[in-house]
Amino acid sequence: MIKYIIKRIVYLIPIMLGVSAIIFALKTFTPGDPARIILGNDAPQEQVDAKREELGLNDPVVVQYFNYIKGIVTKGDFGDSYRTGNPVLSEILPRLKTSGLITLGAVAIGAVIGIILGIVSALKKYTWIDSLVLVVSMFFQSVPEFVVGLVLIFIFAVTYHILPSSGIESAKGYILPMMCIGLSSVASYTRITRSSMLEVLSEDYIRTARAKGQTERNITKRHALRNAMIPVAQSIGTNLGNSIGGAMVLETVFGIPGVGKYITDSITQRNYPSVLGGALIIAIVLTVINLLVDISFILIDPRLKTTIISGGKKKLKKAA
Amino acid sequence: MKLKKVLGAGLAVAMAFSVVACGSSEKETGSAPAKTAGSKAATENTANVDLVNKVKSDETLVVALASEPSSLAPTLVGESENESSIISGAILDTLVSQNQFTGVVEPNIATKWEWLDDYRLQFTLRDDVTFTDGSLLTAEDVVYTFETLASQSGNNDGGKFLDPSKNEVVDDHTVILGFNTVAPDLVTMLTWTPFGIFSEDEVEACGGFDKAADSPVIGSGKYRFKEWVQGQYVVLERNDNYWNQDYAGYFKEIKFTFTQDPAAREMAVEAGDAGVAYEIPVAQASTYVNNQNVKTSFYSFGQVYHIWMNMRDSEPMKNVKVREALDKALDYDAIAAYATGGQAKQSLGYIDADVPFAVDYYTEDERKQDVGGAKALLEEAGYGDGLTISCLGTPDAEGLYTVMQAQLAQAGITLEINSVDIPTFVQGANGGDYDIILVGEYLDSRNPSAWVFFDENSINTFCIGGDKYTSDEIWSAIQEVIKAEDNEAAKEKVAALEEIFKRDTLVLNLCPELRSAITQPDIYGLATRERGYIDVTSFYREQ
Amino acid sequence: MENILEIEELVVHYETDDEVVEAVNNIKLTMKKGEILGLVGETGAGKTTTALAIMGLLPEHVGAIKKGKIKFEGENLLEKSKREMRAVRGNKISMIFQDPMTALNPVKTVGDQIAEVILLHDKCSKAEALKRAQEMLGLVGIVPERYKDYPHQFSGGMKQRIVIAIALACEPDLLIADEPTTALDVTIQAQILDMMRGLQKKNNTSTILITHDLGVVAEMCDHCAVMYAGEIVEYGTLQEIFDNPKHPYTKALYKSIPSLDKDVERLHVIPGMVCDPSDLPSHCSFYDRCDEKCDACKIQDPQPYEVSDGHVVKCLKYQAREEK
Repeated sequence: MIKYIIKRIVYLIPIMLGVSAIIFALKTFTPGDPARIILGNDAPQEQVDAKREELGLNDPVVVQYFNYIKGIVTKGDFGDSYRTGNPVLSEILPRLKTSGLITLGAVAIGAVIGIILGIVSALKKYTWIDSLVLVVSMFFQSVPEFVVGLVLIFIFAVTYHILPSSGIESAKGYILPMMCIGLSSVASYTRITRSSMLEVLSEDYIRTARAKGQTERNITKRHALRNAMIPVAQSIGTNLGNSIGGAMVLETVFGIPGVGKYITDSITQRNYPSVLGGALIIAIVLTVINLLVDISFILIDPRLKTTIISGGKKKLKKAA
Repeated sequence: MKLKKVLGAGLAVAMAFSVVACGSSEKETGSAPAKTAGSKAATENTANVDLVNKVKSDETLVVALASEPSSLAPTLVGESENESSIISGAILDTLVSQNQFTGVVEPNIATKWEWLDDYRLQFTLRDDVTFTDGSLLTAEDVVYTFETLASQSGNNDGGKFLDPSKNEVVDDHTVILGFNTVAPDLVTMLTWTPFGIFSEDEVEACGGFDKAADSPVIGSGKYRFKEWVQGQYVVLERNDNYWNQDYAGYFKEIKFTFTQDPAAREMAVEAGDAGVAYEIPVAQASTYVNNQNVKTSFYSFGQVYHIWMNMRDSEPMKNVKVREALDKALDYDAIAAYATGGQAKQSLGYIDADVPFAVDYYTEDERKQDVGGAKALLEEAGYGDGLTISCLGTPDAEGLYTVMQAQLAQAGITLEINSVDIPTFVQGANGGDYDIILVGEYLDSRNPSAWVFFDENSINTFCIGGDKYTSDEIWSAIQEVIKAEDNEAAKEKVAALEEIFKRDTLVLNLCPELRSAITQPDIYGLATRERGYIDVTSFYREQ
Repeated sequence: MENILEIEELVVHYETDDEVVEAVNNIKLTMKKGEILGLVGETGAGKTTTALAIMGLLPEHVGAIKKGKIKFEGENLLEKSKREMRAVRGNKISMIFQDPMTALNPVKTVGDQIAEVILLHDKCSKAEALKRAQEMLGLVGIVPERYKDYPHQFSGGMKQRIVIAIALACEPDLLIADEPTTALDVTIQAQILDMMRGLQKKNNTSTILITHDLGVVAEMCDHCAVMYAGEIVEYGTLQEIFDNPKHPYTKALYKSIPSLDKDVERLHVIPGMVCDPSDLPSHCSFYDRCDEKCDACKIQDPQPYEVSDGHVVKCLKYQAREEK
């Protein structure tokens, strides 16, 4: 197991080298001069040139890349933000914490609702309940998150004054963003749960359980659910990763500092240290999350224990 | 980082350095459209007209801004962003101030001032102004402030025209400040937020410029910095030792929150979570006009949307007939209606009509859309078979470009819209990678930087937009405007300049750029500073 | 000896929006206590459907019993409520499914899976049930200590032993084994069959053995029913069916068994295809493939006809002969 974890962490190295190489390439080819951006549009060209020299932007890309990697490896230094001059790491960590917390809540909300709806619609397949669940969950998926966010603010903050419209000063501030992001993922969980439930319910071992004289309720609970949760858990794992980096709605609508918008803003600002640092730190976090998710699969699916410990590829192959 | 600034100036890159700042006409919910002239007095209109508050309360005002600034004392670190200007404007106090009602420059920290020569301005200072550490403000502090500005912000509005070598401490309460250009209107510039005074001791107590920019316990302003929780909010508290005892800040604390989505900011006001939501896009704000739960205000601030045409080396625009054709093909009324959400009319001159030295050089009649005329001109210019031109803009400009695209199409001109992100825009706009370009220029003062489009140096080094073309005739006409003794005298010079613009169709004036703010219905005292920034210190709640 | 199972005029349809599949058509079958009945036929002949109908496990919404009775120990199972049927399933009637690889829940220990059926039908504690589960494992030849292991840790043959252990845990009166060895290696097949025969003898469990393998039938059964297109075309004792097959289909089946004695170039193949169960002919359903057909076969659907005591054939050839 430990060998497996170490192996997974070692895999991170090529990922990080790849990510940083791509961003360094982008830096070279995208228009917009970071030095000009730092100094402002009306700064004289001489100052801009001096700044470029100071930032090492005139060095060959390979040299810049090498220096950057050296900084990370030797000092844990991901560079300083062009925008604020603060270390990228110190800017991103609190945002990561906020994003992470909200993502966890959102995934929990989305998964709980999605799984319940998915089970219901699998058990009531082809009835009006099934169709209703489909329509409702598709609705939340197809309406853009920020619209859902605004509607939620309108209902809970403007109309009923139950929750704050923005900010996370009080714990209540976390509820709306979690709901907003969570609701948008309900559809995918519902769909995965439904199809996975249906698949599992048609499995032979469910028939075996029926042949034992087991009740339908217990068949669902004891036999189908845990098996059906395997693909759902996988999707929760991916979702965790995606949401941490991608919950733009946090900042645009709820006024909460998240990591996703930090990075996208940094891209528009050509704030390369923040983009790079952000991407790399997220890559690390995602790897860790994926690892944790993979390990948690073992709890659900004992078959994986053997494969993971032996270091084989994680694959839910049906024993042929 | 200049992002905010660029956005704030509409699309463009603010060049202007101007004087009369609070030239803003503002309009309350449901009242008549913002007027376009003479709002300095603003008697019948609602710009900066609320009575001055005399009551102090223990309430907190929450101001919802669009984004978090990168620092709170921008000039210390050579930056300028809308949000940081708004916040630091409450913390720092300036030598002179601008009357909220009349736009006239008035005494503030300085009781009087006079030009000793073209480049040196002497101020007599009050002797009762105290900084955050309780020390008295002296001439030394003013010199320190301006030296800091020149060194830290020498490249932008904060310090570009300062000449610290001419600064001089005459005595504790008399100081001479030096400038590097001849422009009588520069005194108005000193009312702007970047020129707020602070002391060296304060900056050192904070731990240097960078630290002071993050937690600016500096200045002698109406409010003092209390707390900045990064990513969440900034809190200021009322300065009860403010020198002007006639001023009473109603709110004990002012808290700034940051929410990018304008609808979410509006709802924060409607939900009662925020008192003020700043910078709601005009088109969106006009949909709130009939909402009784909030008060929607519109104001202009001396910025006009212009279309510049690249005449350097791109053939179609070099041709004056093509430029005229463009002028005739555009329907300025429709453009103004779109860009201002129906709140303002087209601009009849290069400078916003609210600005005191503006002249209406055109009549609406001669600016009427004339598709036939445009076609005839194109025919003459050799583009009878149609003409394709390109324009450059940020996504914000797309809407306006699309309106123009449809109008130009009637005359057989195809407009290709290149919508790019801001850094790409800056690069393309500087490089002349366009036929036409939309720029909102801040021309509220007769300040040299406003005319950068015709400055030989700027055109060849760094200049966003413009026609990439100049002549001695234009340049000297501009110098006349800048050097004019006062606004009255300047009007004449502006007229001469407008004549050149008109003769060669060098620029197409579209309409004033409006800004909008939303407040709770019982909050009054909306006032503006330079560039249309709100002055957060003057808000109060109706008793 | 009393009849443990009597199936009368059973008709089962699978109904979907597009079509109706007539899976079982009017079959009649009687089974005595302690008997081992082999149910033989090609894939799709309706063997498994018959078994599922007995278990009450036809797919919901799709499978429908249109007609008939299934009398088990004298009671019609089709009239029982869902709850009553649950008490029968796993307890009085058990079923072993074809593919042991997928018949076990991958995320539960085998001990739990055996104990589950015991807990359902016998009043006992969880610990007791687990103990009995271990005994069952021992009975089917698996080290009882492995009750804590998961299915993936067992080989295919061992999985089938576990499935059998589940089926036999409550000592059922009737065991239905649906191709219990088809998915297994030949050597394993023999072991499993051996074990099953041993256990059957020991408990005297009535067993229906569904298979397409006549060899298995010969080895295990004392009666045999041959199904074709949802019908039982021939029924009789093992001896009768093997020594004196009457129905052309049964005969054809024998011909298709490879034999070491005879030197044939290639195996006999029954010509043609099984007729489409969603579009069965009104005449004899084997008509198209039959090499003994006559004109009458195309007009009339034959009725089951007892050629000798307990040997029933559904073929006009014998019916007609009698009537002549």
